[in-house]
Amino acid sequence: MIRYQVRVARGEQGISRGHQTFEVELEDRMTVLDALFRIQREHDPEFTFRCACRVGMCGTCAASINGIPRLACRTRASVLGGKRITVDPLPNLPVIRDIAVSMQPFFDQWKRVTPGFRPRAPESTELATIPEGSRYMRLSKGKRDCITCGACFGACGVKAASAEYLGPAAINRAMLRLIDPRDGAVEERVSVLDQERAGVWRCHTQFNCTEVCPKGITLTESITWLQRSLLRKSSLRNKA
Amino acid sequence: MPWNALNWYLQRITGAALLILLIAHFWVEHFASEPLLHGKLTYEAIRARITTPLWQGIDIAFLLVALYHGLNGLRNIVLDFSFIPREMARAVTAALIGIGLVWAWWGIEAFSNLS
Repeated sequence: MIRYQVRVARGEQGISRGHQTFEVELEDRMTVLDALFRIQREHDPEFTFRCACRVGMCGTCAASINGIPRLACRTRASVLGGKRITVDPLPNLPVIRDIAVSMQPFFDQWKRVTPGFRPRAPESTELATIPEGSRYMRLSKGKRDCITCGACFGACGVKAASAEYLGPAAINRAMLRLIDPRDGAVEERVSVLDQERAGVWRCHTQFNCTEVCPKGITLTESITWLQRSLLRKSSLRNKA
Repeated sequence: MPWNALNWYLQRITGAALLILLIAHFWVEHFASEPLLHGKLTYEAIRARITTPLWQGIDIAFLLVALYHGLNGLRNIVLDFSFIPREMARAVTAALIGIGLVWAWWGIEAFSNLS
């Protein structure tokens, strides 16, 4: 067992009450999420955080750990290098209580890009297939695994200054839909992505989003791909 | 080409052009100038160079590229902050265009007084 000092943010409804430090004992392979559970069970039952799957599939436990947005369930305490761990709520999102944030601003932007599939030929009875070597498969490789954890949203430097900016995850989602040959909602998405203050033009290619994505999605690459594609909008309309 | 895309593209083109022009500028002004190398740097020597159409073209291009890149960069910073109201951002854009036009005219006009 290794003894850690875990410093967690306290506060509610956007009012910070600073940090509180707890002594927590963890085994070698235990995670930051285990540390948060220890705090709740052994020290303060009112300490609040969110989690669901505990195996890096749901994205619910994303938090700022030692200043970097990560999934608490996928971050072993031993790899953080030190016996002091600081856990804060994800930046750029309103705090509900302690580490738990509201994902409302994230999903508000997510909804703006028409994230759902809109069939190009809704009446068609033909089976629409995407061959293995197709353009969609090539361009979407490694970009389809978003778990909407909000880590990229929290790490984005532009998002910190702009409530209007779509954020990396929503833009990546729009890109996936735009390159899908079965999807037809091109104009709706392009009109949002091309907005001066909210769209892809605000990205400063800082790569923070790519760096923190727990699924290794190259989000910056998706954004710059769209910037180049919007130079010739016809290339997005003609995606077959 | 859409306006936003054009601005984004030109910002990159002018950035690359600035890199080349800046290095050329420093090299010519501080290291490769013949009068400078021979200790004969005078107003006349400089005037002889910048009254040639080639150097005037290069210098005016440098001025225009630097103005576009700098002022558009400033505008991008304003657009990054969503707390700045749209009307104010539009006013800033108009002001920057005005500043750019006046500065460009001022710089180009300076060459006409050299002959």
